[in-house]
Amino acid sequence: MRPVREALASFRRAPLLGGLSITAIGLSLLILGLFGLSAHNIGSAISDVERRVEVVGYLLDDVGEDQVRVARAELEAFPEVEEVRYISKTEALVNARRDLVEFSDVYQDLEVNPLPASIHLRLRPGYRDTKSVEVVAQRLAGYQFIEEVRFGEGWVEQLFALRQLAAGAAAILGGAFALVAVLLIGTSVRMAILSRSEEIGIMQMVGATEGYIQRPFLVEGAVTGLLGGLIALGLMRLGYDLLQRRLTGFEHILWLPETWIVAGLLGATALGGLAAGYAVWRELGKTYAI
Amino acid sequence: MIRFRNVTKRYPRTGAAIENVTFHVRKGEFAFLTGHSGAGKTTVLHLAHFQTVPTEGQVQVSRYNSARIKRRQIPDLRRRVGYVFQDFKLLDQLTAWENVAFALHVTGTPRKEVDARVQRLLSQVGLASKARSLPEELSGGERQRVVTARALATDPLVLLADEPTGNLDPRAADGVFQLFRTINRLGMSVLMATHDADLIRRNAEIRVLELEHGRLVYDSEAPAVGTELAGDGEDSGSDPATAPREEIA
Repeated sequence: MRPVREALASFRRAPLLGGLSITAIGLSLLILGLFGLSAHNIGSAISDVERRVEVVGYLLDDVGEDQVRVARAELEAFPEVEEVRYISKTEALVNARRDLVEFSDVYQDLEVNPLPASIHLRLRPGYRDTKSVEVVAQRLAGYQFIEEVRFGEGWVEQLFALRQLAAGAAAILGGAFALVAVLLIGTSVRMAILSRSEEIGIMQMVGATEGYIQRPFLVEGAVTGLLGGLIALGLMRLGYDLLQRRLTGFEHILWLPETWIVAGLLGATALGGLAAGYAVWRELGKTYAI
Repeated sequence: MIRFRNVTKRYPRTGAAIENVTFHVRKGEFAFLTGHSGAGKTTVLHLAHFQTVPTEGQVQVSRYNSARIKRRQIPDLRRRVGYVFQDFKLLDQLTAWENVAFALHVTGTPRKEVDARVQRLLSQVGLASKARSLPEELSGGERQRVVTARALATDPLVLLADEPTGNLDPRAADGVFQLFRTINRLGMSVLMATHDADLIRRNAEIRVLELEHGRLVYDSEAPAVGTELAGDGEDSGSDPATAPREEIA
């Protein structure tokens, strides 16, 4: 309880400094949060597209039903495969008549169905990258009754590259703003230490342990991080709700998942504590000379 | 108890503060550390309190050696070495009682024991009647007594005093000095820095270590300056954690 009591007393002693630190950290975390929101929406859009990644094998005309049944069972057992759909020649024609309206006349007058039957494989999350898709495509092509395999080679690669780019950008920008927050919290704690340097000096002289001296500052840093995180979250929600009401099309923008919010607040708290811990460890070290 | 072996302390800008200093203050001994301003007295006390480390040589205080001590061990050392400052370093917003209690609280003394110990310490330094006074309401001598009570709060084995009578009038200075003598008679080693020649002359039986330009130029007990004293091994290797505390209580 003493660290909490002293951390709160520190906020009371210097409310302006504490308020400025929390606001500055809140704004820094707001930018981080906005980037997180963008990343979440981009990620969600990419996942939507990725879900449509399919490996399609077109069958030769004379394939027996038993052969298809056995192949389906084998394909469903692949760890990468989430779903196997078989589309017969007849279904393919029905689909074509339905989807390709501009060619409906052509498909109406056919005496022989020219469309092949096909097997469609949808892949599990985590196996939608270029390499996994190619592996599955090769395995499908290995069946003798498969005439051709297609999986949109070019755009699967681009999609994967886009996701990598988004992840890289998130890591770099996220790291940069987290560093800004760490520096702000560290500076705030250093100022708090300086304002209590006389008291801390006496504590060190009479033999208080470093842990005893550090704990209130750790709590202060953690509380600063948490409050900054809450401010960032509040401002983001405020802006999000405002834009939802005012901007058409904004309703498609997703809000952050709860797990991200909890992780973000815990992260801000931990970041605050760690930044404060490092700052106080360095400051105290100067007087120990060891 | 306090052993300096060929200790040199150099600062990057000002050069050597002390050079090749060797001496040993034994358990229960009282010694004056004297010399002009800038002779290196405070540096010696800082080294003995591990506020700084030697550039060369070794400082040993009880079982703690400057060459081997870890940062986490320093608080433990500081509890065994009381320090009295010339400029007091009391917290102005706290009363005499609270200043002493502060040292007990921050070193983890159980709350229920604090009151009794503060009472005992303030009585020991003759200041029980001024317990509720703020530092600004106390005379210089009284403040120095509060500082001494605070330094004794952790039951140290050694008391280091940096010009403790420097800011006091002769009567108050004598009172503080007599307090140190009493503490010393109870078994605590005392190393007191002073440039008060009269005080040293009046107490000729007390050992004198004199510094000049950072060098130890006189040791009233040494056969020759710069050599190790004989018969000084009685406390080497002893664990202060197991030392009887009653001897200084």
